[in-house]
Amino acid sequence: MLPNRATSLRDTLGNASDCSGRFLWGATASVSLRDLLCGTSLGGRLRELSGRSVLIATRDPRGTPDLSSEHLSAVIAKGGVDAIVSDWGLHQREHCDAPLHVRCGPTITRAPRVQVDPQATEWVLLTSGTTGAPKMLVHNFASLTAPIKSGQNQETDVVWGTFYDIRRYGGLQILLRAILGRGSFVLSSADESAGDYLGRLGAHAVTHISGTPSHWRRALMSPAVRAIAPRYVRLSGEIADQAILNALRSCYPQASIGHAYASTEAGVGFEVNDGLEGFPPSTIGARGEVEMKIEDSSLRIRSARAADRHVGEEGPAFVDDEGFVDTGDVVELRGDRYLIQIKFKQNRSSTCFGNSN
Amino acid sequence: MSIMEIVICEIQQIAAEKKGNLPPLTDDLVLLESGLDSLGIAILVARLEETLGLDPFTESDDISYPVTLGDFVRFYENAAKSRDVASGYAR
Repeated sequence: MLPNRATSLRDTLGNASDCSGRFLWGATASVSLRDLLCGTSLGGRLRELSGRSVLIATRDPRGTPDLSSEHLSAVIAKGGVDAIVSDWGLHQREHCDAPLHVRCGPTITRAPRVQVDPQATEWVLLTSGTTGAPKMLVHNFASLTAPIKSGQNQETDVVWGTFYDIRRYGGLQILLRAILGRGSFVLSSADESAGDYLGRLGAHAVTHISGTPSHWRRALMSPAVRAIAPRYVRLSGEIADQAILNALRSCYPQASIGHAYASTEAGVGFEVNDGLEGFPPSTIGARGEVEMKIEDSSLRIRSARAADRHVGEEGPAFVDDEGFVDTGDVVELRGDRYLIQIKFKQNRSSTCFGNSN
Repeated sequence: MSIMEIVICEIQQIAAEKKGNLPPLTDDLVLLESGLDSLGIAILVARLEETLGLDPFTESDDISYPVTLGDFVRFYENAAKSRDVASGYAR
């Protein structure tokens, strides 16, 4: 599905005719992918960002996930940020300036397609750190898109939605699935209730939707839960127990219901679609795109989907000698399934800014 | 106290801690419109697990999630009945 040597989202979109009828629907505004390809919201200044470490900061009344204002200047310094793209005056704040500031406007204006030399991009994702300062993990376009299989989502009527913030790893994965597939995407908003979002999802006839088990519990307690009739329901970010899987099966009998294990460090580990909690033992030790092993009861994962490193480090400090990421999550074999033992694990996936090099 | 009384007491306590206003706690009140946000509901579920020793959201075979306050109370009442039956059989 991905064009050979595609290094950016723009490369994967092809030409405008491929994007006809595809949209990103937000709570208060929408944009067609065709307009995105044929226009600019940056005043035609995309080329100026080439080769820079860019902080993308959108106006958000609730703040950016896993980034408090007290850590912002440190993140800018550590990330070597030399350009800021924002829809508000972030650059005017003390210690938040950068040599280049590009204003992102609220509308797309038609403009000639900017030819930018292909180059590898890196995406810095923030995750909550134990000391308060966010961890800054570097992914590249290949690692982020590796879980999205060629040929997946080739149906033309796919409409994705996710309860996640797309700045988190879990939400970004769904945005990428929508864009790299042939679908559209309904963005959730921090300001709207689960019921309101379900109503919008229903209005756009969502077919594929993801969220954490907590998101889904909230959705299932909403009268609007029947506003949608998805074909695929996905859970990730927390442990999906049998109760929530059963409840979703009952609510959406027509849907395929799957749960995935992912972390920002390890990427997407496994996806299970048999309706049962946990994962089968056969996945441990199996050779393949993703390899998993258990050491000291902890799940370890090795794949090309993992983050490359923390910002400021030469290599990944979170992998063992064999390249496995220690997830720190304890698993236990019960009967014929491995179950993850940490209940309601905090979602460790988040995205704040990206694009460097 | 009955399960209904315990649930209402906990909701009022959480709302007071959050300095939030509660609408009348009627049977047909949609829980997500009760003024408790998702964190508030998570706290409610955690406190009820402490008080009642029950977390039907993870333990129950009931596959219909509660939408209204009345549903929510019955959700816990059914889980308590199931537990009592199970413990009776165990004896």
